[in-house]
Amino acid sequence: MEKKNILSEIVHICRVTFEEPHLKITEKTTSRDIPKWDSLNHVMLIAAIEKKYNIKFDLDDMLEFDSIGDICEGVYKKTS
Amino acid sequence: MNKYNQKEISLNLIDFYEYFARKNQLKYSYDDDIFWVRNAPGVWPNWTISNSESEDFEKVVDWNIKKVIAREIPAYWNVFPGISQYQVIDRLEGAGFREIFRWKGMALNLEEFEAQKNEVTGLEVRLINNGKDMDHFVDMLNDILLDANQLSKKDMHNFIGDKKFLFFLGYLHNQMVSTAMINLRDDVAGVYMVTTLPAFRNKGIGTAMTNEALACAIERNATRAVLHASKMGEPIYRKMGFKEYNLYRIFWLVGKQYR
Repeated sequence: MEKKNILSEIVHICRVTFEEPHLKITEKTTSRDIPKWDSLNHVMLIAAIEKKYNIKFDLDDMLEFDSIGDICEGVYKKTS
Repeated sequence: MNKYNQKEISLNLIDFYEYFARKNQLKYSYDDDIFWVRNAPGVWPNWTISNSESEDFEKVVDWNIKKVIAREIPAYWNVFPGISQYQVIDRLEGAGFREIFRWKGMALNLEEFEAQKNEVTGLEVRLINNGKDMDHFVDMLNDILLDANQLSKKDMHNFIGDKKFLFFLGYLHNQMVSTAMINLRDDVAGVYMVTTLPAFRNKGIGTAMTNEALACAIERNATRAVLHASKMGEPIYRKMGFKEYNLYRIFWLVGKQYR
């Protein structure tokens, strides 16, 4: 799967998870940029991404994802 | 000694929540197998804890999972170490819970411990005894450590001048940079809420704060210290002499309605 496609899909999932349809997100976006991106929404975001791609991240991966770029990279590694 | 430490690491945590709940008149329940404490939504603490020590634990867990789903007890579930830990985890995961943290249970014999002199230049550690400092403590903790569930200043003011819960603030050149707290249960001091502002990490402040808290506990006749270390904190505590005894695994039932 192409990284560009992954990013756009994850952006969509973020907007749904954080309930902000017009949220501006790039690979560099982190939780510090989005007030609603707290620890529980982080878990919900990862769970939604896992469901979308039929993959599973372990706890260490989940806790180490700091940016959208990290998550995209994680998805790319699991799906390629 | 191992079994004693393992038990104390668990009992100090339950004692911590129970005392917090009683002082703040929160709803809580404690039987042999399950402990839970509730606060308002979004306000710490909201925890369910299971003691996984008996072999036929499944019925108790299944019954309480239903209560979580019905939102009668909190959706954060701390699975204590024990012979049934993996069976409990299987059941939680089957019901939609997801592991969100892991803490290492650690202990230190204070009778063999020598608190190190504070070597961080300009660091002053204060025992909190007034409302203003307590408010600062709450603000710092909410900012650094807690996000989805925040401490309330009103709840914490009930502990100003308390003899069992002792709270500390670290000031570096008069700027507030760090927190720590201990819970005294008999002769065991539980260490909790050790945080340092991100910009001030890796300077020895966490170590200095823990040292000061332990020195305070020793003055109050504590002979042992216990804590639950995150991945970030573990190397600091190991260097101080804390040893690992068990593993606590925290799960959350994933869903907007379970925040």
